[in-house]
Amino acid sequence: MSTFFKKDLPTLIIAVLGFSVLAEWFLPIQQLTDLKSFLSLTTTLITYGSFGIGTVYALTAEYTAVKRNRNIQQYLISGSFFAIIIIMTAICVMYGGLRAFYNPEYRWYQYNLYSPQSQAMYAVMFLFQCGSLYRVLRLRNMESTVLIIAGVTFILSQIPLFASFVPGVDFLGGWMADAPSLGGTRPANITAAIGAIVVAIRALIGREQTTMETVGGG
Amino acid sequence: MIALKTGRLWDLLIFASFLILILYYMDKASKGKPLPKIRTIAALEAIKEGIGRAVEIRKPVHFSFGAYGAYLTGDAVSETVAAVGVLGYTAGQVAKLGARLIFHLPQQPYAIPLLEGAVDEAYMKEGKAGEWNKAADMRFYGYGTMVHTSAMASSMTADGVAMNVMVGRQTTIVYPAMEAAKLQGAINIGGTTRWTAMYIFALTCDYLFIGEEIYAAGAKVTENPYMIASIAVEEIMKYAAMGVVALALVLGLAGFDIVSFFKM
Repeated sequence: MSTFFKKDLPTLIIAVLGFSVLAEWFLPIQQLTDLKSFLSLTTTLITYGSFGIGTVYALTAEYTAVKRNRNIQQYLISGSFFAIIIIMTAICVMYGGLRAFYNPEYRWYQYNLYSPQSQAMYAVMFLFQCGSLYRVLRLRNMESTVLIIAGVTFILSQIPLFASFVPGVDFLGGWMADAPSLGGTRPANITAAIGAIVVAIRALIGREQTTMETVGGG
Repeated sequence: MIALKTGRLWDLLIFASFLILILYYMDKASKGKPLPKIRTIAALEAIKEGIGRAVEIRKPVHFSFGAYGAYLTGDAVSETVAAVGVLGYTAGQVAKLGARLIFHLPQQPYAIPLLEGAVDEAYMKEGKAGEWNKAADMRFYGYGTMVHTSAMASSMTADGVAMNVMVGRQTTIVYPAMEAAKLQGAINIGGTTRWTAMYIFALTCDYLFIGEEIYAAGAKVTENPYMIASIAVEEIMKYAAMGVVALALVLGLAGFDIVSFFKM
């Protein structure tokens, strides 16, 4: 395929559509607003359509995992169970549309199988975080000492009983969150936004190389 | 004459400044004039070292954008694009040194062709096209952060892990996966520009992309003069932002309604 069709034409399409959507942000022109709505709808359609690709990849990966495992009994039990659920969900959706997700059977699956596992992962996450904090908060130098004092003070300020015993600690905790912490957060957000704008402009003018083919005939 | 929408004047001025400066620096790059140098990013260097370690101990390198990490719509696109650069770099080094790459796909299937293409191209550049075992090592887990994290942790236990790289628009729930890598003795490298999730990376990573370093890393790995030229604009605009903040502070203290001024 020629470079024109692989690189130049897509770049041109991105530039024209991208700058049109940008212009809509600045200018009150109805045609631009309509174009933006149309492009948003198209993006949504492509997004949902692409779940088919994901399904193929998920099945391929699972099939490979099953194939390399000599003992497939675990797959026979859990696989059959989940296959039944998936088939039942598909049938429900076919006959009931998206309302199927509100029916009692689906909700039973959601609340009794999916949610508890998710919550367990969340619980594990916070447990791990305590372990990590223990690893990180060490008296190594001046900075780490300040970090420990600030961290411990903030944690204590969040305990209502401790705050009632030590007057002013809740105020100190609040100040730490609202002043130094926020002061550090906002520059991080501003610089990240600046970086994002630069990457976006590079993409719009066709200079973003990371998303372009540079070998293989492109 | 068409008037601007209310409250968009400053947006337009800022955007125009970015565009003009980027075009100016790219013009300089095209004429072969000297460009600003990007300092060494420790996390990028560590990726190379980590892959060397992976070859030595014969364990795979894991890469993930997190469950949500590959947005191609909305305000997170830029971060995805920059992270794709890091993915391509990692895959290229893996191909070069002969390690194994396990890529945990994010939950956005529409990004799969782009991500798959980035890895394929990296292998192709190293003259090893088709050597990546996609069927086994490119894994999609469907929808949900918990599913993604659990699957990653499980994969690290089953396949082993020498280095775990996680960049992109990450959430805090990637934490168990990173901890799993740490428990397996792996090097953790990662970063995100989402400030609510940055602390997770600070806690678990041996090498960290701090905020906007991800955007710079995306440009640095390509070694493309036009992309490096645009990084200079980031620096200029950062100083401009600092100037505006300082000015706004002084004017605000002097009693000017600075917020209304910037809402023009």
